[in-house]
Amino acid sequence: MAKTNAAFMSGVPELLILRLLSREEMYGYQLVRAIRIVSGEALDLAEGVVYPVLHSLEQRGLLKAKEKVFDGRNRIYYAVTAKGRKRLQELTNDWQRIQQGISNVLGEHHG
Amino acid sequence: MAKINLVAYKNRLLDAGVPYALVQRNLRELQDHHHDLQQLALSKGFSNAEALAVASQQLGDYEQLAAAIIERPELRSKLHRFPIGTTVVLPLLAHFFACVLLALALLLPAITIESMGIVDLMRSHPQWVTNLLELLKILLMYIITPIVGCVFAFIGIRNHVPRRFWITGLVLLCLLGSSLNVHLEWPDPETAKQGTVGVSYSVGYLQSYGKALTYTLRLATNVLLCGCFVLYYRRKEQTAGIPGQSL
Repeated sequence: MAKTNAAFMSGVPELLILRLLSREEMYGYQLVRAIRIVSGEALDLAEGVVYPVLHSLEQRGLLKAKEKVFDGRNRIYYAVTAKGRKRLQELTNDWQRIQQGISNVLGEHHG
Repeated sequence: MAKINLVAYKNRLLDAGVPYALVQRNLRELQDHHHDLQQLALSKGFSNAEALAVASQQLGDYEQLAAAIIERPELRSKLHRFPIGTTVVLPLLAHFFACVLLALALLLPAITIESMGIVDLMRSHPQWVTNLLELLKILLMYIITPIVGCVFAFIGIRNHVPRRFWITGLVLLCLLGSSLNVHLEWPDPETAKQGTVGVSYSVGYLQSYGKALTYTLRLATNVLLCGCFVLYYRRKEQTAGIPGQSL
């Protein structure tokens, strides 16, 4: 069961990050806050763990990073690339299909 | 909540093959993130010590943070994935191409010889030009190997590549680099003779006593220079700290 959960959850951070960064560029701390707020505190990650996901997405060309000064400190901001937007579309479609499948199963069970 | 020792964290990531630049960036991001969490806790009325502890707890523990990076193979450096190619073969290729490029660069003034007034100098003091060329050639033969060797040793040490790879690369480079010969012929504007450039490798032990001695001296110089750099830089890396030291 845990394995299934892991499989379901494996693309979730990627989807969330791409979705939030497609709206506006953010640095790590802002992004974690945004995930917490948008998910209604349902997703509460160990905050430092978001960086490996960001670095991995950048390595794959889905994000690009640039330094900007904010509040007197140099921050590394992340933004979605064209390739990232395409990937976001794929992940969104996949997720909606899964969500629809689960809803169908639950609806049948309840019916 | 144990504090994250940044030096230990950095070494753990480098040992696992995460590229140096990425480790540095990750450290910076974690430090900034920790600072933001601490400021947030302070704004909520926590004391300084409490705010520090809250920030460290929210950031995640050392094992969790390191594992999250190490478990991603795409974040491993090519130096660790292909250590023979990058620290043994690549330095030898880089040495050869650097020799060719620098030898060509030495000939560059000859191409613009008219505009630089070297023609007049060659006519009035041909020996000066010849000696200068010889000096440049010798410098090239003696400095290129330690430079290439130190650059690759620096990369290997900094990225925590297993010692056996970059030391093998360095030894082979010293052996090869010591046998380097650069042949340069200056173009002669009087006779319209074209300049030539050539790079060859000869050990010298099979040729003459003098050449064998030259080869041995060059080998000793290269080993000494590269060895001194390695000792210096390893010591510097081992004692290097990180501002803040812990989170």
